[in-house]
Amino acid sequence: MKLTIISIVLSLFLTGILCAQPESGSINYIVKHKWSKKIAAVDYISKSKRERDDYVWGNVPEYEEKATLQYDSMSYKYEEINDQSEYVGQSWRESEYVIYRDIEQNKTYDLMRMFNKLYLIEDSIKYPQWRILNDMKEIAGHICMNAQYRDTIKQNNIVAWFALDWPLNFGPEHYGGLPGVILEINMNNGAKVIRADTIIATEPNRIIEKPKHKKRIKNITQAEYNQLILDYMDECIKEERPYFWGLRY
Amino acid sequence: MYILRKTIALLLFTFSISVIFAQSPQNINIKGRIIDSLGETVPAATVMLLTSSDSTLVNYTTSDSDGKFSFRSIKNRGYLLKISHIGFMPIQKQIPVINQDEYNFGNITVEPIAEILMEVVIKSAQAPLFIHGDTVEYDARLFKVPPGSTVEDLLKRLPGIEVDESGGITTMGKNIGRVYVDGKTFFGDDPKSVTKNLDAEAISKVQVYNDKSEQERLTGIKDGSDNKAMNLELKEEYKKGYFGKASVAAGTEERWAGRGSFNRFNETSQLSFLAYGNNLNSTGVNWEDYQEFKGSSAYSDYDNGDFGFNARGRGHYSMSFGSNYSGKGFSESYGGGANYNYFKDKIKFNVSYMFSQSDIFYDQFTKRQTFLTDTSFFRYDTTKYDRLNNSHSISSRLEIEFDTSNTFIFRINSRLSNSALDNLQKQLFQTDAPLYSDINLNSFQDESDVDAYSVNILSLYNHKFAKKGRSFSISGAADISNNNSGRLTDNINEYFITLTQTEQLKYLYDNTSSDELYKSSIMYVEPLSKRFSLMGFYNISSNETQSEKIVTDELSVNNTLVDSMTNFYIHTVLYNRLGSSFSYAWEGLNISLGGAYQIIDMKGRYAMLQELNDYNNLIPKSYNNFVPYFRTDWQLPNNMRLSLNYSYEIDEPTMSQLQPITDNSNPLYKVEGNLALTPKIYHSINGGIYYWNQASFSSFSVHAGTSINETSIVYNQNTIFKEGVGYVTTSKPENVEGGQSTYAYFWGSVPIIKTILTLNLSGNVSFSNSPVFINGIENITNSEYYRVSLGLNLTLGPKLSFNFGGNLSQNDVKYSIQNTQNQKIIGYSTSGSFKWQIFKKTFIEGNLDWDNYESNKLDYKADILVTNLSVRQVLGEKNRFEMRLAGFDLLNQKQYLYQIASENYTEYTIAPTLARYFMLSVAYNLKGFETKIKKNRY
Repeated sequence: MKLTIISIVLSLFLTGILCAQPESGSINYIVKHKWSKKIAAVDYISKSKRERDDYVWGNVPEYEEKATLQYDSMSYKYEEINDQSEYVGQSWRESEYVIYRDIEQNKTYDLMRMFNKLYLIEDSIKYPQWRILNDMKEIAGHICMNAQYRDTIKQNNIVAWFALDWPLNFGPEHYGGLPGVILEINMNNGAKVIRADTIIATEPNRIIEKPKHKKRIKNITQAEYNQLILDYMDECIKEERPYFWGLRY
Repeated sequence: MYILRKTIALLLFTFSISVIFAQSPQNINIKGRIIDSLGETVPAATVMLLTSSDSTLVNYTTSDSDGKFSFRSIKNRGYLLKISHIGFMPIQKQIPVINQDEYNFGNITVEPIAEILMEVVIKSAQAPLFIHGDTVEYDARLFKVPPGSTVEDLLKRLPGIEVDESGGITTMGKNIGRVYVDGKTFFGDDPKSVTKNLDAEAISKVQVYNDKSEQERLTGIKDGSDNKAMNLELKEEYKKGYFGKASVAAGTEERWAGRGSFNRFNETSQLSFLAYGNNLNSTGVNWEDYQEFKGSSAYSDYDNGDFGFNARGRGHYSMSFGSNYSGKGFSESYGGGANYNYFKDKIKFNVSYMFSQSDIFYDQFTKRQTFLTDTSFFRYDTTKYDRLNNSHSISSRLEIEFDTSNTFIFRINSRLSNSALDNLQKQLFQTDAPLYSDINLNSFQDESDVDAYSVNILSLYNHKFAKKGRSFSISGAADISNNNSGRLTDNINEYFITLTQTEQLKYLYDNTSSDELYKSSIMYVEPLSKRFSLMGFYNISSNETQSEKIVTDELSVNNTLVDSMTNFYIHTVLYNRLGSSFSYAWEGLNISLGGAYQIIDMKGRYAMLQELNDYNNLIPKSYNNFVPYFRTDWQLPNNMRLSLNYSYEIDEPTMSQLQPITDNSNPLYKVEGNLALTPKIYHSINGGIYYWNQASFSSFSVHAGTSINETSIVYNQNTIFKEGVGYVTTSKPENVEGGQSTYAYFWGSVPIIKTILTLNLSGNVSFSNSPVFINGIENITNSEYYRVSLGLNLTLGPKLSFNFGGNLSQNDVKYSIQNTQNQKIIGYSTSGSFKWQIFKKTFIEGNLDWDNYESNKLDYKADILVTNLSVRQVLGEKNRFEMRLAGFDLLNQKQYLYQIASENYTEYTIAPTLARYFMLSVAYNLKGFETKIKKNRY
């Protein structure tokens, strides 16, 4: 009895939250890279080489980055925001990577540096074929369910955790198309994990601006982008070198 | 919300364009209403339509305020309907292919998630709860238990699980009948054997689910039994991995080799053992083996605690197996060791022990022409050399990150070594052309035995302040070493020119020396703005050297002391350096500009013997200088890096250079000290460009640098002809003005046909002019060196690859005092290699190197062709064995060669070395050998 009352109260309460969910805000993600797991997942490199790397690099700590996703009712923007101020007197160039999506127009506007060139992918938004799984866990205060798909281009297994109480279909990087906001992406069993850390709701009138870019840029479609990656992967497989030496993981 | 509506509208539009005709309609509608167990409506539940074959998401919606949901005009092909809501257990329903055009579920009842679980999920939001269908899982790491607790203690703390007095486990009133570990039965069926014995530390996850009965397992039909089971998942670090290798080899010419290694590891620790031995002129282990041995500690040997710029790394110490070996002659080596790494959370710990022994022996011949201001003479050396080295080393390093702002590092390295040398040398001196008559023959025998130990201790602390980028570091270190040696030299000089005169000198040396260095550094970094920062540092070090050399004349009746060579000294060098630099750092552009004031104070005293206590003081020296510093590097967006650096360096003379004592252990070559020496002062500038294109797999780099001396320290030579003895040279370190050297180096790699043919090109040039005084007259040696090399890498599919290369070099040396002695050395070489996988597990590999040298002086030409060929076969079902038959230097031409033109001499050296032999080896690899050709790059 007590149980049911609690759950009713709870669900009403949560429905309240749901309805009051602001239509703009930002999600701060923490991105963790584990080198040995990245190597372990490259199945075109010899097994002994991967096992050796797993041993040599296995307990080297994870490398951590920060990223943020800002959204309003019509668009969202995902970008990496690394704070170099801790490393005083030594700065390095961050790789250019901004994902901007116009939901109203169903348009991508993905800006990234790849193979020494700056590319802009303008196309309609397409989503992968997610398989819905059965696990539930809590991330940043939200109960999430998991889904997965195999990225056949870069040959990665992607597991996403999407919020059951936040029915918007976007997420970090180019991931989206699930019944809730993606709060975690786990690539290849922990090789790269993008996990929501804090969620900040802001006033409803916030407008996300389209990222600006330099004049010298190469416009491509999603299919052209996929072909570029496929060609590169093909060379990497022949050379037996990990693709992420020269390409974003 | 907007997005969702938009998506649904789009999907509805897509589906509504089809029209339904057939008996089994093409498109259908699906609807239902979600209620809870009390009949109350459940709004805002996520309702997903999945394909029944693989759960692929087809469409989704949410239930409205009445708990109702619907999908309109979707293909009639059977689905899985999945409903999830944060307060309820997820539920799945089958939708078959239907005959009507609507499928109505009516009311669907969802069960609430147990209150106790909700508490875990909602109230303590940090504890993730995994629900896999009917399985509920906890992350055990978040429920703290004292160290040494058993799984039973852990279970008592988990919400929803009860453990009774006898150890029986229940959840939600139901008994847990089985406990698995990583899905496997653990020591039989009694769950208590697990929970009472297994350490809670080892567990990462606890899963509780409905256990299937044997009948259900077989038939798939639920038999209604309601058994609960528990699975304990082990932490990654408790899952162990290992690998190991061993090989033995035997060959002709009494060649043999053996080695073995074993590595065991998990997430937090690595343990490895290594042992090797051979007489194949390989005295240590290669980098790859070293890396496997040291694991993740392979890169952490390099902290030296000297903060600031241009720090000297005084007492810097790194450890490795074996010794540097030129490949001259023959060797027999042994070595081994153990390494342990423990890396967990904020602690990194490493300890290792290594032993190595090598016996290197050779016979060599050297021809040298030395020229003086107007004449020259020849010297022919034949040497028989044998050195036996062995050492034991223990090293350890500990790094603790107390919290995000405090880090501490402690490192200790120690080494105990012994070296025994036996050297027999005959030097025949001859006059210049055209007579080439013998002057004298100097026979020299040298036997020595050295025992040494050293200990290096370093501790380092870093604190990061609350203000981002502000930090403070302090380090302290002590390097202590000690040397004890005994040496016997026997020198016989026979003079031929007039009457044959013979002179013999036989000395016994007893040397003891010790060196103690204590140093400390502090550094403070203050960010001024986002782009600018200021760094300040202070280095102090004190180095005390003590040396005692007691020399006795072994030819005298009572082995009397040789006063002129016996001495004792104590020296101290105090080094103080205070500096600061100002840096700009923004988006890959880094510029630092700074300066330091340094004071080097040197003092010392010496006596003939320590016990005599009649010291002479050396005049204290103090070198005070301001040293500027500039450094910049720039990372451009297209993977190009540029760098430019300038430094002003001051190297004080060593104490042995300052000693007012003459070393005349070789009566034909004496070395004097010089009290008046001042430091070497020079400017050093270097810069470079590095470019990498990941799309074309091409890269290149160019580096260049120059070093300009204000003053340098050189060994001026004074050679006189002494009647009855021969040419006697006295060498003395003195300051000279001028001298400079410049170098440039480039390297590039470009694929001509991607993944098939790659071109590698490299080259370097260097120019130097160095002054030295020969018999009081200044000689400027101008040296120019050019080298270009080209390589091609051809991969014809996965089973065949080739490498070809060529190399051309020229060295021009010009002397200002006697340009007839100018010398030109030309070298050219070609090489080729192939790897061919001839059958599935059979490989043939071969290579050849053809080297040519030519010199216009010394009538010297070399032409050496070395070829190697081997066949290997991988054996066994798991490819764990490998047999290899190899022939080395098939044409038996290998030789050690060395040529140099310098100061006032030119010389070449030839030594026989390990040439043709054949060898059969058998190797074992626990993880199996690769049955593919190894790629060069990775």
